[in-house]
Amino acid sequence: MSGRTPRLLLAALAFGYAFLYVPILTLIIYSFNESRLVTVWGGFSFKWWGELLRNDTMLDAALLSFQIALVNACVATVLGTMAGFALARYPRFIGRTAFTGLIAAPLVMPEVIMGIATLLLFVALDQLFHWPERGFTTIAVAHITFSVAYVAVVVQSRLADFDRAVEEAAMDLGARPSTVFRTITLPLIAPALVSGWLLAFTLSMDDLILTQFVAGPQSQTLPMLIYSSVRLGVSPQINVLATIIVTVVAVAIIIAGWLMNRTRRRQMREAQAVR
Amino acid sequence: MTAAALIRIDGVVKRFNDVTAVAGVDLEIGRGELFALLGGSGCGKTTLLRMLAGFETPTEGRILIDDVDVTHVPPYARPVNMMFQSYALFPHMTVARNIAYGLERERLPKAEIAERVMQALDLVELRAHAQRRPHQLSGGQRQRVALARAVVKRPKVLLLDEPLAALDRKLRERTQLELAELQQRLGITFVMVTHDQDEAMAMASRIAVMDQGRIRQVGAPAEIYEQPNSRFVADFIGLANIFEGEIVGHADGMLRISCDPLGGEISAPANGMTQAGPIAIVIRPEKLSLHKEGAGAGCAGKVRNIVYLGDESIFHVTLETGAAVQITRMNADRRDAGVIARSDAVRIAWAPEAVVVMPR
Repeated sequence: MSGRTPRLLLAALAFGYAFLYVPILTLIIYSFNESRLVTVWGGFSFKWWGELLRNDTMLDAALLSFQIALVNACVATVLGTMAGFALARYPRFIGRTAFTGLIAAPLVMPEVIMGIATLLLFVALDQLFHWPERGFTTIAVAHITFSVAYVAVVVQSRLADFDRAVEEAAMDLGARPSTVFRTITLPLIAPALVSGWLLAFTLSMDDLILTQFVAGPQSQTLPMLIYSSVRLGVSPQINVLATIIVTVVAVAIIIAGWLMNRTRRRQMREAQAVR
Repeated sequence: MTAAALIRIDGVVKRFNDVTAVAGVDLEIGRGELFALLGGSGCGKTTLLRMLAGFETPTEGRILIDDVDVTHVPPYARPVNMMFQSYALFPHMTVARNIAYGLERERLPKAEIAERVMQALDLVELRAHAQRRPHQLSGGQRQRVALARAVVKRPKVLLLDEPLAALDRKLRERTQLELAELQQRLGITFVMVTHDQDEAMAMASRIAVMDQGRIRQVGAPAEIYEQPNSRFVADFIGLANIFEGEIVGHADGMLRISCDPLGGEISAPANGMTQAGPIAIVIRPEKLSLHKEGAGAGCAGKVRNIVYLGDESIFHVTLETGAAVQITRMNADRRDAGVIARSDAVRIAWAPEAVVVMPR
């Protein structure tokens, strides 16, 4: 058990971690930089945090991204759950193959192609019905289109190892199908819904390519703003913003991981007890 | 069987696409019975049970419970509860909440629910575990929670799908008795599916032996064992020596049967079969007696093998006619085992009443 880890392995591990985390750490440290140059340390200060809070363009973009991510995550979770159910519960229905392909497409299709396709659709719609105006709606719809796929896959795999007898038992005890879903199915697949929601939220939050296609001239999401401002010359405000995002994402991932871990442990305990 | 039939299954057929799972079953189950559907895997017993619960709808035929046609009534509206093979406990609820679930669906007052849950917990002696989650319980405890959850609604019929299959052998034997006692105490009609003939024999008041979607025989355990109506049933229940023969005559309720494997003509009770012609006979291994070669009637043969099982031994004997026979003998005396050894020349004998005649 207490065998010594070879030095070379330890070194490789340290190098790997350093490669992954040192840039992020640097980025966080430099968000407290006094200097206006991103790469030169000029002393500790909250100056750029203050600057960021006064930067309306940046805050608007952050707000827009957050709103889109929120709407996207909720809608995608609902639609993705329905799709996951269809795939897991109905082995045969007309057009199942096409449906499976449709769900899987966003997972494998290059985002550029999806971007062009979606843009063409919106342009055509706009010409025909003068709706939707490109902006919040189009970005949200585009994000939902691909987020649904991720949620569907997560929900489907959760349902695949779901004991149908539990639902039958509930029905046998007098619960109508809607009650069965509310009191049994939903609580049991909740971890999948939570991780699906978080996944959809994160995917939307940092999507750039697809967003750039479908965003109108008026709307700018956070990734778009960061990308364009980097090209114009980086302000340390970016570091501050990145620090905030990293923190939010890290917290979300930790929560999701903890939730999944808990269910896995519970399942393992159950499996062991059965034996 | 009690006077009024509680469950009436009327010409029920169930087909899944091209597969016929249940191929025409007529059955009446009386109030207060502990009825067992016995058969191998794929014989249709589980499908029949699931149709009683309402999870499957018969392709043809009707099911009546207490004179009400429930053929198309959904599971949640039937006066029937089921105990699942996997127990199907709700993993996200405590034991008490699991048991309360069915009562909550009836929207009973909270106080009544609490009281009945407590009664059910006492019934299965799990009061101390009320606040545990299913995964914190042993297999036997989960089985009891499943049972409590299924009886707490006081159903007219309790369906049990392989109720003891997941328990180890010792626990299974004890639970068989407990279940049968509980059934007596509650007076609920039990319909149980099992592939384990010992379980069916030990617990059931009546057994239906199923094969290929049909019922082959219905009767009390002793009836099915002692008077099998077909080779399938004779072979399926217990050990059986089955031979083919031919009725050659009858007199005074006894048949004369020509049975070459047993070395010529034997006699057997008629049981309503007198028509001359080919038949099969069965003799249970414990109804044959085994003697060292020497004086007396019976067939001569040689012990090919002895399977020692502790309480009894199974002797595999090859007769001079070439027929293979199994004979069980209690090892009543410690020195019994070994008196007749392998390769010994022996004679087997039986009373005419031990022979059961069946259609071939």
